[in-house]
Amino acid sequence: MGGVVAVTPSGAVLLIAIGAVLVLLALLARLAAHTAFSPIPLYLLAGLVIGSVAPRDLDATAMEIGTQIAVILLLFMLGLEYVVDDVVGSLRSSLPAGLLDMVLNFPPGFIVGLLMGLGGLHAAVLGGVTYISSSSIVAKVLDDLGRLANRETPGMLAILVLEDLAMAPYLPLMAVLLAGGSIVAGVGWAAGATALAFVALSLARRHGSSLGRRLAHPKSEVVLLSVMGLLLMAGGVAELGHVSGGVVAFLVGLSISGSIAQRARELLGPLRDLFAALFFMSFGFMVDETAIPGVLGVALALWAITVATKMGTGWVAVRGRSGVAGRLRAGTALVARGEFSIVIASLAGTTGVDPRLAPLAAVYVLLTAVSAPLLTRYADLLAPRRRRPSG
Amino acid sequence: MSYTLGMSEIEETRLPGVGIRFEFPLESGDHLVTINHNSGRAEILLCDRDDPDVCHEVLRLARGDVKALTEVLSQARVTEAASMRPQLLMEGLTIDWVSVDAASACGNCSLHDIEHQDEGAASIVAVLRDGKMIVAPPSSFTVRPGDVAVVVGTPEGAEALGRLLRSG
Repeated sequence: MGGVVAVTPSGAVLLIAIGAVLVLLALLARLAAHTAFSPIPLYLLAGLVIGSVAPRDLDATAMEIGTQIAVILLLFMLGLEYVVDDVVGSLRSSLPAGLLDMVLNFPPGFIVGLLMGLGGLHAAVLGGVTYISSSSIVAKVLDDLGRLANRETPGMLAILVLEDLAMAPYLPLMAVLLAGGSIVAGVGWAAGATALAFVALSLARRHGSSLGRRLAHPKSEVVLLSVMGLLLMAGGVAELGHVSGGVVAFLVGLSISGSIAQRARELLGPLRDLFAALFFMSFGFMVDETAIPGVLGVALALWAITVATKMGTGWVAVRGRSGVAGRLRAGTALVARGEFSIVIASLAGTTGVDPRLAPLAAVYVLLTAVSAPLLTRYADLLAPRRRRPSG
Repeated sequence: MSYTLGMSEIEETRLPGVGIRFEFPLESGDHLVTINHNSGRAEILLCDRDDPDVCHEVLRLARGDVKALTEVLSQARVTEAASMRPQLLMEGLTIDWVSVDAASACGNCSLHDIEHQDEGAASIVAVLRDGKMIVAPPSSFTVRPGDVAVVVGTPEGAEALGRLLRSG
């Protein structure tokens, strides 16, 4: 390498390739903003298309690190969004509905996985994929359709909080088991992570600003670098013990509140968007598109079953607060699966996994993420006519 | 959670991951709903008095707009308060009315905590709550969002204390 040339020609080509991918993702995000759809399915689709024409010779370590950072940022930002009162309030108001959500929506993926012969562990991964609704897609749909003021909205959001909270035991449990650990170790880590979640929450309630005050600084780069550095370190330590780094990031996010949470949201939001877009794209990229026709039937069946089970969940979750129309709106919006289904599917990794799992998860997320906003937009048509149509 | 401010009963509902929803009946009978997003933007909606599912969005406000609108609307109350304000007691001493914001870091602090956080030379000598004036509250007294604190001190001290109560 000469003194003047900073990168090798292959490095330069890589820069051009990454830049081109980001420009493509930007165009898709623009399209998503115009059509009021979530960009997540578009990123997945872009990855699928690129993967079918380009060679899949990405650096595996770089991919893995990128995925980890994306998962850590996604879960950290999710933790930031919730304050203690949200979690306590959701547990208090909606625990039965949250349990019903789990009982209705985990088994379809799990049972279909078993029937496909994925084995118990990977069937449990598929169960996680069908269980968790996408907080970001649901929140975006409610906002776009002007439904945040509606009566059914708090009950729906409580369900999302409980699902996200359920990730605290689920992710470490699956991470340990997938790494070949025993079920005892897995349950131990899961219990530990759940206990830590409550410790983080109660600490945040009592000394909410103490961690925040130490991190606070007028200079943005100081806050950005210290938060990001702590997150990566905590995530790395967790991964050494085969506990999901994402869960630790979620706990850190939960324990930060107030003005430092606002700062972190502003500073890390753009980073999250960048890494998450690349993560969804690369998940699609790694999917073997030739396997898609083989899983299309199963994905459609799974979609049909879980549309029904999520609608049942929504129907029960907002009972007593909303009429038929509101209950249908709640159920249909919850159909959307998105970022966390992809996070869960990516847990299984690529080695020693049934090659049908990733394509199935990708197609399933595409189906639900695209259909939920449409279903919920026209949900009112299913309800008996009212005096006045709702705006 | 609900509380009363002035004439209207305000209902507050947390929207996890989104923000806070406030609702109160207007004198016209319609219900006014605001959605305060965590990101700082806000929406104002009008809802049918019988059916809160039938809401019409009136305004969508960006973060800066929220600030501007709050400022403009609170002008009326400031003018009202200013006309009641007694003469400057003496040189270097000022008296001010500060409403405690929900977003304030001291939205639920005791006067003891507030005095420790505020280095300036100013004190809260009275608090207007639910239309009642609490004069010379003890240091264990806890301010709440919606209170109006009467602050006395040096102009700089009163200004600093006001900033503490208004925002986080």
